[in-house]
Amino acid sequence: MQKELKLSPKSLALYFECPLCFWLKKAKGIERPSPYPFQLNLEVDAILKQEFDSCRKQGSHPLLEANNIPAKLFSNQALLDEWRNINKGLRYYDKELKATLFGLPDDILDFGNGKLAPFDYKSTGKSIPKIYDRFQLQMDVYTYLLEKNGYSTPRKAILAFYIVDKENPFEDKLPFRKEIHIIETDPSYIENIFKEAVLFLKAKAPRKHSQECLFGQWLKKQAL
Amino acid sequence: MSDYYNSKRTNNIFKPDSKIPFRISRSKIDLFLECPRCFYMDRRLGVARPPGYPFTLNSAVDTLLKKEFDIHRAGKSKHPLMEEYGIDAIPFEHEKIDEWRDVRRGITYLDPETNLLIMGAIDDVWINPQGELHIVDYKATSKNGEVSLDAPWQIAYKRQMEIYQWLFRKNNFKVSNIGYFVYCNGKTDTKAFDKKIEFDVKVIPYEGDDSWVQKTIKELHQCLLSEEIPEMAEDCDYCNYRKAAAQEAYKKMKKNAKRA
Repeated sequence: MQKELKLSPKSLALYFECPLCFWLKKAKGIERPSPYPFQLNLEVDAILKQEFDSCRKQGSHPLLEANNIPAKLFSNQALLDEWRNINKGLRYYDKELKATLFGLPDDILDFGNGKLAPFDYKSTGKSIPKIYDRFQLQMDVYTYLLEKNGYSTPRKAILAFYIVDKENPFEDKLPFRKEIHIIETDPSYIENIFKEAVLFLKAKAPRKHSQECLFGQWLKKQAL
Repeated sequence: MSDYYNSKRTNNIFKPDSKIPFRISRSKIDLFLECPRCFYMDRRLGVARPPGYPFTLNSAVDTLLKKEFDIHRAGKSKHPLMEEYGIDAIPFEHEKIDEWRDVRRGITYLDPETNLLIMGAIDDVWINPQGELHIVDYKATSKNGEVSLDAPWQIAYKRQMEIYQWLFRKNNFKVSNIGYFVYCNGKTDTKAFDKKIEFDVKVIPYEGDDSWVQKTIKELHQCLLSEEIPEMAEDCDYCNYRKAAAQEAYKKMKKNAKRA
């Protein structure tokens, strides 16, 4: 914890879900057992980044046009690459808290007049896409970070869902249909949550796993 | 997440004095081999490891592959992959194929010695001209380079294959030791996405040896019967997490109590 403290949307989600698990991870380096990596989703993200990057110079992409999104792809490739880079990221350092909040957006849309909005790719094998709470939090954090970095935002985020089309046989490919979802974002509570989470790591109150925490329930029920 | 996790189950718990056959899926056999303590917690005490998010894209690949092989099952024809890899077999047509592929039903065998109902759900099964079955499992990933079965963690894949072979033998089928993994590797170098991920598909034959299965079922049964909680596997992430989390939380609580 003496090192620079860095929190991501995932850290904040963990703090919401279970403060003790958050503390174990961030203060003690004890992480919940991790699942196997989601290789296919990572690959879709990687390929989509290439694809949108290839359209960045002309500004638009057929998907945005087809959905009448009044925005262009963010034109500053170098800056976007920095924001996507895990060692840099889109970040904000709070001097008082001595902590950084950061995120790794997939992409950014430019709505004109300097207004920027997060644009994230989500892939799923389910038939109906779902905007999970963790997606909302992630987009609220990105909006907050953009604003802290001096950009104005339309207080919106654009999610591009790539949903497997399961109608046809495989033929060596996984076909997708696409859906664009625009959600409202609210960065107003992020500052407080960020602060609360950072101070929590330094607090001295006794701690328990939250009632909803699956790992807490699992730990407690062990007859040890 | 909590919608589909019940930290303290009351069903599917092994009761030593029960006469009703107790169901053990092939993934629980694997859990037993991976960490007997986690297995015991789960099946005897009703406390399963918390689940992760589902791998929906992998499931989608399985679904589509099944559709594709089903076309050849209906046509009693070879799939192009079989031609390409020189495999003299066709998809096996059987009235129970849908049951065998259903994770809720699967292929089962009631072991008379232990009264355990062993079950597993397969992806596919092929048949050769000698009337022998080849068990087939689909895998999907995305990595640079060739896919193989050489990584240490892939022993789980091999065991999976061997349990299925064992189950089909126990159901009186003639089963070849050779099973096949249809391994789909998402291409990372695809330039344009064009609404799809493309895969390199490789068929990897694997020669199984199911001689361990019967013995393991017996050990697993002993584990379930025991009143002692078994030792954890040294490299079990879950048990190590549990230990570390409990220790740190305890230390912190004591420290706080002192300060107060």
